[in-house]
Amino acid sequence: MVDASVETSGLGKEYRAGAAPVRALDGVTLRLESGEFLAVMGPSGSGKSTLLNLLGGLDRPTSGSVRVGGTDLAGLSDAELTRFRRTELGFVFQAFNLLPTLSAWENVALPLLLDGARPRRVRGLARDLLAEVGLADRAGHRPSELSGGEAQRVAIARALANDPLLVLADEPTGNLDSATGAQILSLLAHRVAGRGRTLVMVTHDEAAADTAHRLIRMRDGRMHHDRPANGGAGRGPR
Amino acid sequence: MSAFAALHLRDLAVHRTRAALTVVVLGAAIGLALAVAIVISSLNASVVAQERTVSAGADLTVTAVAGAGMPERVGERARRVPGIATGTPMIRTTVVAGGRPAALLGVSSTDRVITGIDPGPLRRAAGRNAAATGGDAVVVGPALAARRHLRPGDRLPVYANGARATARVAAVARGPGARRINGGAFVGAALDTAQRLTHRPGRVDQVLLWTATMDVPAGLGRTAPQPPPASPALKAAVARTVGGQAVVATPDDLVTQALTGVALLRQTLPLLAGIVLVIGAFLVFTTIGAAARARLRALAVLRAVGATRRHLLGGILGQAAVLGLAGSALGVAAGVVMARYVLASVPVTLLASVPAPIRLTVTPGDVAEAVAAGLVTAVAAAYAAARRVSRVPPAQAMRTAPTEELAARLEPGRSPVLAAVGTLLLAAGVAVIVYGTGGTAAGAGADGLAGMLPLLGATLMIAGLAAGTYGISGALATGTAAVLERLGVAGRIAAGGVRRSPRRLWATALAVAASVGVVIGLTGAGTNTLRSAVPTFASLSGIDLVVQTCPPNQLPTDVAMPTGWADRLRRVPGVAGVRPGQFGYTVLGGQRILLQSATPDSGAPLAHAARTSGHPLGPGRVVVSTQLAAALRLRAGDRFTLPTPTGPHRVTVASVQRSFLWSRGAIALDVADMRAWFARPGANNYEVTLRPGASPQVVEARVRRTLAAATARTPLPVYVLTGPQGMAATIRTIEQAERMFTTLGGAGLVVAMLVTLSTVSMSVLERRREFGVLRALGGTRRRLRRTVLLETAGVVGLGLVIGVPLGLLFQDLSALVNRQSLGLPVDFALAPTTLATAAVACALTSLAGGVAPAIRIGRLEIVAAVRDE
Repeated sequence: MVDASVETSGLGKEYRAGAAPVRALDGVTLRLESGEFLAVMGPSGSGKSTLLNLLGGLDRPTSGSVRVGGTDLAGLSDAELTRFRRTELGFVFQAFNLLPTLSAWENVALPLLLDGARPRRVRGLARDLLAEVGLADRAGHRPSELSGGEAQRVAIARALANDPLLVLADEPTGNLDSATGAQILSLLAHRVAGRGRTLVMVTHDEAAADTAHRLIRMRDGRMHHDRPANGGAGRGPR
Repeated sequence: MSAFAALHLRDLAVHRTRAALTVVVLGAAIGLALAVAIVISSLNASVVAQERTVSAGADLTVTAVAGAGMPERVGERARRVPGIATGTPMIRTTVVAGGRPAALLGVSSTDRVITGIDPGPLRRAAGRNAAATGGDAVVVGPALAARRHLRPGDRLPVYANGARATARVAAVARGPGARRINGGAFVGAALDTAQRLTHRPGRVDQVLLWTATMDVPAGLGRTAPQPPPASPALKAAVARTVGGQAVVATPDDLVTQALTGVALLRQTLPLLAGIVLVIGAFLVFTTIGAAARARLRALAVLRAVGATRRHLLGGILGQAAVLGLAGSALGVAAGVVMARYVLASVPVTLLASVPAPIRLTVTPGDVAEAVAAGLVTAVAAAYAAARRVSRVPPAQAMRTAPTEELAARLEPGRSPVLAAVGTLLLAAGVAVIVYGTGGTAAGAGADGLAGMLPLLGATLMIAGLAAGTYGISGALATGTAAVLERLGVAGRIAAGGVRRSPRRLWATALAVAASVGVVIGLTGAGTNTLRSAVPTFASLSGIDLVVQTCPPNQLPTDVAMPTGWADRLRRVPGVAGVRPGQFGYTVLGGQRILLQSATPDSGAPLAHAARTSGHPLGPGRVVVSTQLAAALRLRAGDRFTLPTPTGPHRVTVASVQRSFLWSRGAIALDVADMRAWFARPGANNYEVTLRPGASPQVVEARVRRTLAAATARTPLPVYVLTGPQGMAATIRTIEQAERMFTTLGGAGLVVAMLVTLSTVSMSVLERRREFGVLRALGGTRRRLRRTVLLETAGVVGLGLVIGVPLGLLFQDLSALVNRQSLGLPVDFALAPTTLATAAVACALTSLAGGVAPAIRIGRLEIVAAVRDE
């Protein structure tokens, strides 16, 4: 059984804005079990995205610690952290963030290609992942030729390409209509959380949050509320 | 190729217009640099090839001064110096054969032959008994043979040293070496035959010396191998033996002396080409920087999903390398074509001073250097942007802020270290110039490191300016924006564009500044040179008629007219008097200098200036040009020894005068001294004075008819011109040289205009959504166009603020280089009209780069622009 747990202890992040420091995150302590689906909600400036950045090794905390799969991210060098992101983490962004000059399958395979894999070797895997998200026939298309929902599906496939321990989704349905958003959430729930991967999703959408096992609310950089979500009722992590 | 690498290349393809513009501009800059390199290396190679062909691999040469020849015994003494294994005497001079100048080479039949030429015909010609046949057998070069349709058996009139002779063509020389000697326009003969043709029995022009006996490769297609250098001690020993009757030199010395007349080219052209290349580098800087800015989010995503900084840095530098290689490929093709035009733009007078025909040759080394220059320039120019962007925090991938804000956060606009380094370099450059060169003419024709000090100082100052302004680019952007904000709403919007990317503003402004600096510097230098030079030639306009043996824009150094022609001219009705004169070259103090003989009442510049100053030249009294006087530390009244073919002669400096005749300096001496000391009878120019009241046109026509009759019997190239025409021709030569440099500077201005076009286009593209919102809120198209033009004006204005003082610095440095390195007495003086004209022309040209983007933004579609991400 792979350890995909996530654990933070007194996690904090401070930014310098002019003379006065800004505490974007203040002493967040939480633990996620392997395969748990966590939704993070809160108003703008509450620290949701900062928490996501720290969990994903995209930024470094100014205090506290974060461990993913037993690995203390703060103790890693920049090169080690980069490699960790490449091999153990997956990201789904609100703006999809597909590379416009790559095709769909190339975008999916990107983490593997960055790891030195040959395109010929990973093409099949990428196509399989696209098939899982219902885009088998769009493998050769560029992002400009995809709809918003299709682009986000490609992004989800990309997030799964390296079989990550943890997937981080930042407002994955923010740029989509409700129907498409529901499809994306279903994909995330089944293909990510449903496969034993830990999933942390930032959202403004109550309905989206309800699909998670657990919900935390942030305010002023602190964890304000932590309870099981509707999606977690009777369906805890496996 | 990995998909990751392909990603970066595809980005180039997506923005193909921008990439193509960069490749074209880089290609043009590299092409110009290659063309200059080809011309310079061809100049060197042509002279070296001729010298090696003629000198047959000799270790040392002993050459008579002033082309007057030396007694054979001088050469024999040199051959007996310990350390010399063998030597061969030669005749090596210029004659008129078939009505045009040709080289005459006379070699001993028992000694080595000129390498590279089929020795058979030459040996056979050398072996003929001229006395028995009643004519002199010679071998003619292929160009001369073709020009005069010569075949074996034909008679060839040869004119030299004021007298005429006839030779018989024994053969036409073959072999690649035949083309290397004066382009194939030569006459080869046995030594005694050549002596008879030049009416100089018992005299030779040159003696070739070898330190070891070696077999000279027999002819066909073989240039003599590079000889090992003769020791300085041996050279000095030979020099002591020959005294002042001849000059001892190594083959390298001869090449250096031969290239004296084009020293200006060899120093200035590469500098100009380098500046154009630097301006092209600014375009690469802005292109790569803009490309990276546009992809910041994508690059952040790459970092987020696991790309290392090295991935990103390598990818962006790889893009730059591709642009550089593509530019190099284009540049190589363009450079080979442009070389011809660059050479054609060189004033004839400068090329005529090179004693070898110039053959343009492209060497693999030239091409390799051009490719390397393109690659290094592009990668170096892109490095700063690549390094900056590779540090994009992966967390930025999460943000939805517009890319411009992301980019702005990565551009601190301030680098105290660079600002400090830049200041130090500036100060170092000033110190090198002021203290290293002494601030005033420390010695004409300074070679080696001393001669390069002004350019070294300029390089340090320019590097300091670039680094220093880079370090304060934020402050420059703030300052420029502050000016724009005073210009209404459009100005305030334009100010935002300027503040957005201080580095891009820096690169574009500096590109404009560099080109402005070059144009102002060159035009100002040209004005200064003309203002300094024209007064020194003013006396020419007072001469009624000049008869000389070369075109008006050249110096008649080789061919002399018969002494009797002076009497013919005196007998022409309307002619009051005829003053003979000669030009020639000699070597003094290791430098090739110009000798001019004239009568004390001559209108020739040096003689006239001396007379006007109350210290005319006369027997034993010479006039020395300022640059030569500085080099030899002479003043009026000093005495020095002038080496001549008839032995050293002590002369008195009657006067020191400014002269632009020859960069290394000139000596004017009395006609009688020239004839007696240098064994040069005749004259290669006559000043004809008209009787008062005589019609100039009528007398000129009579003079022409008289000369036509004379040249019918003695075919010599003869030209007749009035004094004002002569002066105008001289001034045109200087103007032509200045125009050549200004044209090259103009090329830099065009490149800067393209940099401006590229930069403003990128800025407009990045702010498309912003402009769309402005239109949606009611902004007119006209306001948008004005905004773009104002932003362009802001960038160009900053470029002018930096460029105008830079140009004045270049102008002053040019005068200093002329004085220090090239020996020309050019004074720096501010030329307001020239400066204003050049500045306005530069400003308008650079502003033109903003016109296309302004037109384009005026056609913006609001909906598409507002939706644009």
